[in-house]
Amino acid sequence: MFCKIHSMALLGIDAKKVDVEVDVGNGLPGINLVGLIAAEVREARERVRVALRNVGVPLPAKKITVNLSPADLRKEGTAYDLAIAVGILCGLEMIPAELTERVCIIGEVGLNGEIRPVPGVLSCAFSAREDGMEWIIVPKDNGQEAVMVDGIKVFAAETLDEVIDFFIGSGEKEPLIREYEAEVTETEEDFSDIRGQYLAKRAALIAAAGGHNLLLLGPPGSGKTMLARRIPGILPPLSLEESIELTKIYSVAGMFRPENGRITKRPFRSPHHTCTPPGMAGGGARLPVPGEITLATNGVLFLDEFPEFRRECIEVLRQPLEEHRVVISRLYGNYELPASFLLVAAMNPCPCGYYPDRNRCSCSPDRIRRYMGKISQPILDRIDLCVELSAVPLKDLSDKTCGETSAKLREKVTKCRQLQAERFKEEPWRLNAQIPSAGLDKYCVMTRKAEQKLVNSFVSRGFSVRLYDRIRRVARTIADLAEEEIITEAHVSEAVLYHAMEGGFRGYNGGLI
Amino acid sequence: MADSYDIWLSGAVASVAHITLLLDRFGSAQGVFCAGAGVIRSVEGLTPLEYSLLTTPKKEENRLRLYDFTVKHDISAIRYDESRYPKRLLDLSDRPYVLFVQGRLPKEDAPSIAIVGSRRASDYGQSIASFFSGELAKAGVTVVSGLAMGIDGLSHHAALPYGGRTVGILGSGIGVPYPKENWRLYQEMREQACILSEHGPEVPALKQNFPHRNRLIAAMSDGILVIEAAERSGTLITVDRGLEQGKEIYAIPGRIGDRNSQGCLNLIKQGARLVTSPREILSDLAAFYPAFARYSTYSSQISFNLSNDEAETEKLSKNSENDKLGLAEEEKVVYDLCRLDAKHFDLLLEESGLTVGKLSEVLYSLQNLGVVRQSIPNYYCRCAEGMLQ
Repeated sequence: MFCKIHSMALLGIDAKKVDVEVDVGNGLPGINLVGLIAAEVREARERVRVALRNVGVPLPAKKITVNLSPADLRKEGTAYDLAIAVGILCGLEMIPAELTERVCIIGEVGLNGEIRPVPGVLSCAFSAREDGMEWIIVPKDNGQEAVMVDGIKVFAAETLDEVIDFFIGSGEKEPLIREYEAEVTETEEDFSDIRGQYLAKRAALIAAAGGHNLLLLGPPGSGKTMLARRIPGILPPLSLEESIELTKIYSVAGMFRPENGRITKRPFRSPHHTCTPPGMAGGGARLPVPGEITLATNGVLFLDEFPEFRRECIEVLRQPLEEHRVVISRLYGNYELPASFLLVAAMNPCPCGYYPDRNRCSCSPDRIRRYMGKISQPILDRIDLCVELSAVPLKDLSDKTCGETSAKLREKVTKCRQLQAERFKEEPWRLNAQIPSAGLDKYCVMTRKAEQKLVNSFVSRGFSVRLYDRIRRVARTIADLAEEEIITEAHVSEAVLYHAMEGGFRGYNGGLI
Repeated sequence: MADSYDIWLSGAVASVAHITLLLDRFGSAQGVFCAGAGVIRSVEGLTPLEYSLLTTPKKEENRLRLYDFTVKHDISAIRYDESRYPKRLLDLSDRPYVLFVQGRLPKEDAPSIAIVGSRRASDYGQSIASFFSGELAKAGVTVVSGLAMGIDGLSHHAALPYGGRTVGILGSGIGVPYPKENWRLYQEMREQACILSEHGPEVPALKQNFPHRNRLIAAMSDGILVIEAAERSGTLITVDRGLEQGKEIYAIPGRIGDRNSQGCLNLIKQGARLVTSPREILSDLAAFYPAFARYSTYSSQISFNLSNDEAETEKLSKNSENDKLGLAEEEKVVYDLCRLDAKHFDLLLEESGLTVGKLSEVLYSLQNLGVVRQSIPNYYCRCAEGMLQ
């Protein structure tokens, strides 16, 4: 007899419906799996056969054919086990086929019949709801993940027996209840912990408000990491869509802990500088595993010791920084993953770290230049803000007067972002940092004097033309923070402060130091 | 006029002593060129590299190439017995056999000062180097230095606008100037001033040639101004050569405890002349160059507000200087906070009590006025020149 069970395949961070078709008929006894399947899917045949026997369903001497459709989509992972098992039970007419019509089934089956967790259940549940499923059967450990999706009933099974019971048992079917509610937690780390570093703090505020990428230069111990860690805390709270997107990503990456509920905290990813390009962008031999840039979506990607990263690893950021997504090409297709993060990079001003303190730093100009040269210009072109931090004098550390708290800064950022959302409601972008060159004349209106000033600085300081656009974007955000529609001289002169990497070599001595 | 054989010999043998040795034996550069390999090898005391360059079968090719190079790049090769040869070098016991010159040699009767110092100069040293060099050149003094990074390069750079009164002396051949980071400076020096080398155009930068080069820097000048030097520094070699040649040594005092000050402070302790203003050097020079005395009127106007006289400094900075610059109220406050040593934006912010926006605006206009500069990003210091305007 023929029957059809619904299951899900992961594609990037989204899931796509896969039908498990089972036919039980006469022929050489055995199970035959077809439909562009990977080795681990093929092995399901053994797992399912043994598991069924162990729950008391020995397979009859029939030929069982299982097809995973669409047959041109590569299927990987162990999540089809359960659907295959149920399909066989259906084919053997132990479960009435009509009961499985609006049920989506995912899960790995163990030899003893237990059902084991699989990644990406949240995405599967979302897709299942979109496909009009009434129920989704998931492994018990993934249950709380699936219940986050409203509008679909979840059955979390621990063993194959329970699944059989679900279909043919006598009791009422109870959907799983959501145990944890999403709640906004305050971060313990606060901006007011940072003493001094006014300029850097200001740059962080502008970065958060306008979505500008930030590069921090400074000697060891000046608080670069401390500052970067606090930036997610001043970003506005996650919207529902952002939160769901993020939860899906973490679910696919297998890093999601349901006891914490839907992810409501903006991520802060800080990969080590030995990270590989696939680790950064996402990759893996078959199913793409989200990389750091995807895990940092809607949050902050912090790259400490920026020049120490492998060059390819930094260059791989180019496309995501422009397009806010990353496309990973693999043998069986292209996978698109979201990657809209705020890049915060930190580096020392020279190999020893103490330049310009010439009493401690003895790096030659050539060494400093080479160190700086490790960051390519195309990447620098995508970083709107760059500030140099000073070494903190001891008196500042004991100083008790604190700057503004994260909560207060978050308010400013939220307000500024609302202004931007209002301004760009007709446009495909949302933040000042994303204004394309063509839109700058329209959205970055300056006073005549401010414009004159900016033009002058190109002549007198030898700024490049492409810097012009970046300064205008930053000036736009500074004006927005001051809630002014027209960019004035003050905004422009402040925007010019944040370009510490310009001029080929740092410093404007015409290459002489 | 140096012929192609002279040029070839300068390219093959770096040391003047070795050239003399060869000339004594063979009479002329052409004689050396024509000598067979066996004869050359019988001359003792040459380095293996020199032997191989003197005896290589390609020497004819090398000679023609080097000659073509000098013609093509407008390099004049001046032999010691020519009248164009700088008089100052004639007194040297180891004067260069051939001098390679690009640009035009400075006037013989103009006073000249060597400005030397650290390649890793601080902001203070950088400001002082630019200031002294600019002022000296403006007054008609030729500034001599070694085209290196740091103080050397800045001194040339600052002297260039005033009629190109500056001479750069390379430790490598003119065709391969070192360090290559200064290529823009070489370009300007060639066009507007003068670059010298005693080596053939293709001689690479070799460590052992640089101390030797320093004797030429000392010889080409009437006095040596040391701006920043560490305790053991190549700069001090120039000073030693200068002392051997009887030159006056001037030193800019630095702060006790700074690594870059130690060399200068030691020199002062040993009797170098401590200077705080270009005027002091100019008045010294006026004593030797009667024709130069007319600059004394100019030089009397130069005063540097780092002078020892506290009261004078106070008066200068508070009244005349600020007023002369015509600064607005907030600009005055910020300008007063800036020093020759760079301060970070945060420190200025704290001390001035202004907002980030306001301070950036003030610094921006101060930079446009040319009285404050951004030494490295987000660090600000006064321009020494600004103190005089």
